[in-house]
Amino acid sequence: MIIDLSPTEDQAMIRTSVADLLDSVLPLDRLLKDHNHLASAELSSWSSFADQGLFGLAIDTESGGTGYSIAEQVVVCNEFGRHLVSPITMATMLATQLAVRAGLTDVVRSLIGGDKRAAFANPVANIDYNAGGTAEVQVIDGTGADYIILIDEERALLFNGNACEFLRSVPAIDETINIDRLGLPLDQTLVHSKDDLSTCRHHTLMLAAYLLGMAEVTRNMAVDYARIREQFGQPIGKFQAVKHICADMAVRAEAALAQTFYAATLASVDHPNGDSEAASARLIASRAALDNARANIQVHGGMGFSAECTAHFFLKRAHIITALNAAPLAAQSKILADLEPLS
Amino acid sequence: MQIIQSSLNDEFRDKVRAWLHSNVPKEQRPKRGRAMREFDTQWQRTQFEAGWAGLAWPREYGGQGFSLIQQMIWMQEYALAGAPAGGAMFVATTHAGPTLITHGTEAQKAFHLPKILSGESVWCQGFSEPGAGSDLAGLSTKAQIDGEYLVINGSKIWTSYAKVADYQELLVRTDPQSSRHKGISWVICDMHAPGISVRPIMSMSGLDTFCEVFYDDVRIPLDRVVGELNNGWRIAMTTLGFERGTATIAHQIELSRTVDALLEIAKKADSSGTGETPIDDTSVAAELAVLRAEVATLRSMTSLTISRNLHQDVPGPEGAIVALFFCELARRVYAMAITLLGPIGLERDTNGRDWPLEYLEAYKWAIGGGTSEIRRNLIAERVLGLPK
Ligand SMILES: Cc1cc2nc3c(=O)[nH]c(=O)nc-3n(C[C@H](O)[C@H](O)[C@H](O)COP(=O)(O)OP(=O)(O)OC[C@H]3O[C@@H](n4cnc5c(N)ncnc54)[C@H](O)[C@@H]3O)c2cc1C
Repeated sequence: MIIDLSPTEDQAMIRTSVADLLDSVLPLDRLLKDHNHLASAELSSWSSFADQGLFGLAIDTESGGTGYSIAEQVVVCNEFGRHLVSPITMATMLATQLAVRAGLTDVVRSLIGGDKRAAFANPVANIDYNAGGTAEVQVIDGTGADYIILIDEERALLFNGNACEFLRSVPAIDETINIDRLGLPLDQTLVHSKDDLSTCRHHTLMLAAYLLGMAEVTRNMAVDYARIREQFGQPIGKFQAVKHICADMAVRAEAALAQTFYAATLASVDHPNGDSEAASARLIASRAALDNARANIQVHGGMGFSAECTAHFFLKRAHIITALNAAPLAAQSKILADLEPLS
Repeated sequence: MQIIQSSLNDEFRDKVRAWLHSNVPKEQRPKRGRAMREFDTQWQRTQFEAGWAGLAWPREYGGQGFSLIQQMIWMQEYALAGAPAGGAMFVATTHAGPTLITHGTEAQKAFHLPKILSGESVWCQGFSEPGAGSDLAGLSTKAQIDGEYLVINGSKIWTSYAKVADYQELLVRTDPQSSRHKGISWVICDMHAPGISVRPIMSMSGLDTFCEVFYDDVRIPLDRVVGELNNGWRIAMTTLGFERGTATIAHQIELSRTVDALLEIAKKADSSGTGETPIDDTSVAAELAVLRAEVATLRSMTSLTISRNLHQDVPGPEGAIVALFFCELARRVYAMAITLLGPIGLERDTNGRDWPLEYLEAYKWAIGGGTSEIRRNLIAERVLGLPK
């Protein structure tokens, strides 16, 4: 199989337009000013996201979407990660996909149009789906969400926001994220799809792309700082100890980029190895995001430890995204599954 | 990001696969001496006679002039067919030949290129010296001009295949007043010339492929200089530009197969009779999953490098990133093999596979051809633009 990992014209165009939009409405330093309470910055730009067609990007045109594939969706999520955009954007994209599968035309229309939004549920303990009743979950930036989406390695569930029971709000490791504990009514799902592997795969790849974005930005931040910060009469980037930290950051970001884009390309044609490759992408990208976030803090010295620099947000967000619907054992068995030869 | 579909590529792949299937040598490659040389040159000749030599070389010099995608397909099929690595022919076909094509005189090209393609001559690379390794520009092997000759004195070290080579790409200091990058020349050295002695060096894996080479008043005609006199540094550096990302394909496929083999081993019950398999140990499963993900990633990184080179004429410095990722990964894959195999991993040639040899050999990647530290310097300075 021969894959050209360079962006197609459309992919390059989508990236530029999303990056431009996010640069203007969600610049990173917004997080320093107010802590993005309840994703307020995202919500006030929600209609611009909808106008760009972001919530229906990988939905076919008959269903009201833009008709692109997961490859383009991954490009957008990559930009989300670079700008630390609230995960409600990705939750909404996936909710749209689920609603399309279930034939919920009104839901699809309202999500694509930006009138409604979804948030991710993150189980706090193993859920016994057969037992029914309510399952306690964390919801990420979900206050006021119209839909709650719960997704793991093999199933995806969609709930009406107002059918869920609010339990309490909890302060989170990442002060730019709100976590609520909710009770999900397992027998009142809007959609309960047990074999919708493509949505699960897309979820995995979108998170990988988001994590990749974080690994790229932290690499760039560290390099930029190493060029200008002077100690001992020279830029710290001249010290080999600092250079090598940066070089390793570049390796991790490149690895995450290559694997995420490769896996997304396979997923775009529903290749049988798609699940395994996507799980590998998320694993590699999680490590890249976490390790690069840590390295970036170190390169920034005292500034890196201070809340006045954006470095710490990347560490915190990397933990949130890494832990989101993570099923390490299921992911592991996908990675270790028998694969088709690729050529 | 897109899949390149082309029936021409598919046909090419089928053709390559079929040819390799019936022509890849079935016998084990001898690891030492003349037998090794015979094997490597014979395999080169077989490829040459079937029209598969010099894939990336231009047609006017007897090469195939294949596109980058065709080269990639060849390398993939080559590795999948278990074809032997270039071995003693490696320097000739991937360094010396392309360097002569770019910088050699017509006479040099006419004499050497056909011999390289047909497997008639073996080359080695005489760059490193006892006093000049990572800091290659510090080399001090002297070449004094004496009429129409250069007279060489000094020594080279770690020269792979020097014992079986006919020619050497030799870097010497032709300007005695010079220092560093200036005053170096790239010379074709006849390894059979009087005054050359070669001492094989045993490596930690038990192979003696690399050697120390001593030059005692070795006379080399001046017309063996490639490029101009004192311009050797630039000539040597252009060699790096020939690599367009296909070199890691073979390594990547080999590593991926090794991880698959480890997975098989981990799924087999041990001899204790408890029915337990190593993979039931969650830490073993986790480590194998990471390695599987990483070899997949190496494949993707190779693909990314080649993708970039499809759209640019000169390969960028990012190639160093894949190289660094590969050599660090290779060491960990084989270390995992030794750990997983337990006592059997300590025995050579058990189960038809010499795991200790492969494990010990894996240490060389982070040293030869640029150490990991030098690669990190390169990535920091050339890719990321940090100050020198
Ligand atoms: C298997 C094998 C085959 C080889 N084949 C050939 C061949 O065919 N022809 C040939 O010419 N050479 C060959 N070499 C030599 C190889 O290119 C050198 O070993 C390599 O360039 C390193 O040089 P050195 O051994 O002198 O180590 P040194 O340069 O002495 O390095 C020692 C240590 O110091 C570190 N170091 C050095 N400089 C720096 C720096 N600036 N910053 C940070 N750390 C630094 C290195 O990373 C390393 O850890 C081969 C080597 C091996 C292992």
